[in-house]
Amino acid sequence: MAEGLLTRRRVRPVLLEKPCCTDGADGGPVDAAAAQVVLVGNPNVGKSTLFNALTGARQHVGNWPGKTVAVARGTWRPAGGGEVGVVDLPGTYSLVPDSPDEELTRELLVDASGPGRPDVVVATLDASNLTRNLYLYAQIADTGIPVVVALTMVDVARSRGLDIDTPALGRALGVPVVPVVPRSGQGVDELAAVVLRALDERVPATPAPLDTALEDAVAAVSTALGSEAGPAGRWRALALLEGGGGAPEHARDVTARAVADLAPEADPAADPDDPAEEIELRIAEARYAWAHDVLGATVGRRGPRITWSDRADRVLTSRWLGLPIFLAVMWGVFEATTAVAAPLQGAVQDLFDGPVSDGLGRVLGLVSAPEWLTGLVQDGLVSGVGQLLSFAPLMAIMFVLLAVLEDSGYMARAAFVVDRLMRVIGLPGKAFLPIIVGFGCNVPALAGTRILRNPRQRLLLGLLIPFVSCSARLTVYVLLAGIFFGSQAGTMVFVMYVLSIALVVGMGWVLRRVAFRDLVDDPLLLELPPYRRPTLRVMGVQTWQKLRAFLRTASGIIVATVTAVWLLSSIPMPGAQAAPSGEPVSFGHVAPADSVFGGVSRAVAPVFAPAGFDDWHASAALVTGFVAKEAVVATTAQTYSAEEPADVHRAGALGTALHDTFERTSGGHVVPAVLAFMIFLLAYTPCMTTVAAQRAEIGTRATLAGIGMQLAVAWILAVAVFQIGVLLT
Amino acid sequence: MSAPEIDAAPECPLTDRPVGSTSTLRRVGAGRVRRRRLAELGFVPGATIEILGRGGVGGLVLAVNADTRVAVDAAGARELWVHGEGRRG
Ligand SMILES: Nc1nc2c(ncn2[C@@H]2O[C@H](COP(=O)(O)OP(=O)(O)O)[C@@H](O)[C@H]2O)c(=O)[nH]1
Ligand SMILES: [Mg+2]
Repeated sequence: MAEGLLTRRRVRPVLLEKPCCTDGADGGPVDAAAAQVVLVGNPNVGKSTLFNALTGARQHVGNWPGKTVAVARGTWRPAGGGEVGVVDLPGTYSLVPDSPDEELTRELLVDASGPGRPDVVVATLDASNLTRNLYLYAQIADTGIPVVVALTMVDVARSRGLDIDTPALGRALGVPVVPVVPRSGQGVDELAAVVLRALDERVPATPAPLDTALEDAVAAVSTALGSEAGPAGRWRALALLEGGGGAPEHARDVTARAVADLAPEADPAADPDDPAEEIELRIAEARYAWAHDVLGATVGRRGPRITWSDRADRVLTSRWLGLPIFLAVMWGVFEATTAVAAPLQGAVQDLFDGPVSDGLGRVLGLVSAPEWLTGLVQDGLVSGVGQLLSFAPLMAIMFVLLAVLEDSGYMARAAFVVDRLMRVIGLPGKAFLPIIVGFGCNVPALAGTRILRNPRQRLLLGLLIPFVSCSARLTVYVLLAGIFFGSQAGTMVFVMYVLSIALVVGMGWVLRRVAFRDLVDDPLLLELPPYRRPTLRVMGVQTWQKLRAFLRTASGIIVATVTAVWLLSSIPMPGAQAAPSGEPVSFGHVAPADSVFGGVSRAVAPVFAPAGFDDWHASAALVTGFVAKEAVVATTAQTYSAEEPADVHRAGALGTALHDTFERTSGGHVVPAVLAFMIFLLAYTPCMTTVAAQRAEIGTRATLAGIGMQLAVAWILAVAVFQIGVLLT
Repeated sequence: MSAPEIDAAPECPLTDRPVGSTSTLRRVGAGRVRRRRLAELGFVPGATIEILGRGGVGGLVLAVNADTRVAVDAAGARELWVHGEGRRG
């Protein structure tokens, strides 16, 4: 496992294209036409655990080509030899898509043809919940793809008093059924043998029979479609009866007649969708009737129906205890992403600022590298990489927490408990968690938006998260509030948090009405999977995979931004004056005020005139704040000390200097100007790492739109606060 | 679902049923997409629905067809039209 984790070479991403023969650098016979196996199943049936048992560390998590659906792909080396590509598809309740996640499964099983079509589907069915799992199975079987059933959770089924006659189930379905306990690896070898055999034989699955009238209709439409229906002919015929897609010319009459026969009472004149809807419901009922029959013939039930999981729910979802317990869990999550993560984050940062930077400096000194190169490496690259890696522990903690909450089953309960509250901003209950985490840091919060399955909701949440005031912004509030509001400082900081919540709710409201009108307020409908103990090994591998993906996407933006800022502050403005000491200005030897960075800040400053802080110190702080809010205080001090050295010797010199600046820029209205500045700081882009994380979650275009929105909102609010403040004082 | 004594039983939304009761689903009063989503979880006519608990603001925790646990809010529960004690399952 370790060699796969550490050496990129051994991790071979398996795309749908057949891996090329020259790719087998790490030895072993590589099947030129390596087969593709996909895992399909309901959410929470143990698919990912099974995937891990099959592939070990030879896996890779990433977006499916051309989609924003994260999929784990890996290589499985079955004992029988050869290599098989395995794909862990997102959990789905049916093949009729409701989200891009589910669309991918439908596309692969129904629409894909030739090499794009998987060779065998491993239908992963939860033995403790067979009726509903068989409903999905019936749809898979209708696609005519070769299927093998992996029956998971057999241990759970047994403990609930369900006796499953696996051979009988296999006979009823007409495909091999292998009981597995993915968590312990039990049954995985048997599954391997069966999958290999299925890859050899490629027998299409036997469809689940519906009632006679439906079967007659399907037969008629299939015949009319003829050979052009392709391997998923039965699925196509059913889809036509359900009103999905247009029938080809020669099949149109037959389809229309079959529909009329099946739904004689429906009135297509009143609503053309009416018969299709009725048939769809009828097919669903027929599939469940079949599932009940199969269950009746293969599963014996003894023992109580109420499980310990139900008993836990009596407390965890109860009217009085549900919310307090939820808040306690959220408090735990917040603590873990702040108090626990902070020292780790600090340690990494210190390691890079100290030993790594010094060490590299010494090495560069030994080879007598030019000064600019040393500067670039130490202050640009190393500090950028350091900042990026300092987020790694925090992100790892976040990914582990998400996995624990999801896999344990608690996340669904949490979503139920706060559903009503979150509807205020038009998002489901699960959105609460990323928002809470956002008060610590927006970066893991953005990663947390993944718990929403609907991509539009994910996008909306991803756009709102930056308005959640993170702890890095707190340091700036405290500094400014301390200087300007004296004994009222605490209240002012509290006000900033209230404003942050108001911004999230308010912007959620606005966005819902402007850009997200398609988000319908459906009533809550949520499966509550049984409480389970998460598998540590799976969590470890998945966390590592997600962390790697994050570092890969974030590294570019962060290193580029840090390097750019370093460059800007190293290059003197044309015509810069020599320092009072007489030392000539040159690259890397320039006061902030005389550097290009200072020049840019000066150029930006007038934009803030209507907000009362038209001053280059303030805009320099905001430019730095785009890189990292943690750096704002340091930059501010730096810009003043460089310009007004006399003040530095007085206690609270920075405070006095800031006071003077705001006094001057606001025309005496210091309080509204400072408030405007703080509000701008709250609302505009949190930091470049957030931008990188946002890009990883919602894509480049939405991220850019988000930055534009944040700047516009921040500026408008700042101007409004200052202007109103001036009127009132 | 065609047994006459069942069809004659009065129909009511699930919200009218007490915690601990078991009912048989008769119809779903919702649009097509919603009906599809419900069907995927087992809510088709004839399904048994047991109310396991009631959360805050009218939400219900249900057992559908014995094995699936589903949470709905009050609005979701009003879409589910059931009748009396279930005869199935
Ligand atoms: N008792 C039991 N739990 C399992 C089994 N397989 C997986 N799990 C647990 O079920 C939960 C969901 O598993 P996962 O693989 O993430 O499911 P997926 O959503 O289908 O990918 C995790 O907490 C697993 O540890 C099994 O065979 N028996
Ligand atoms: Mg999974």
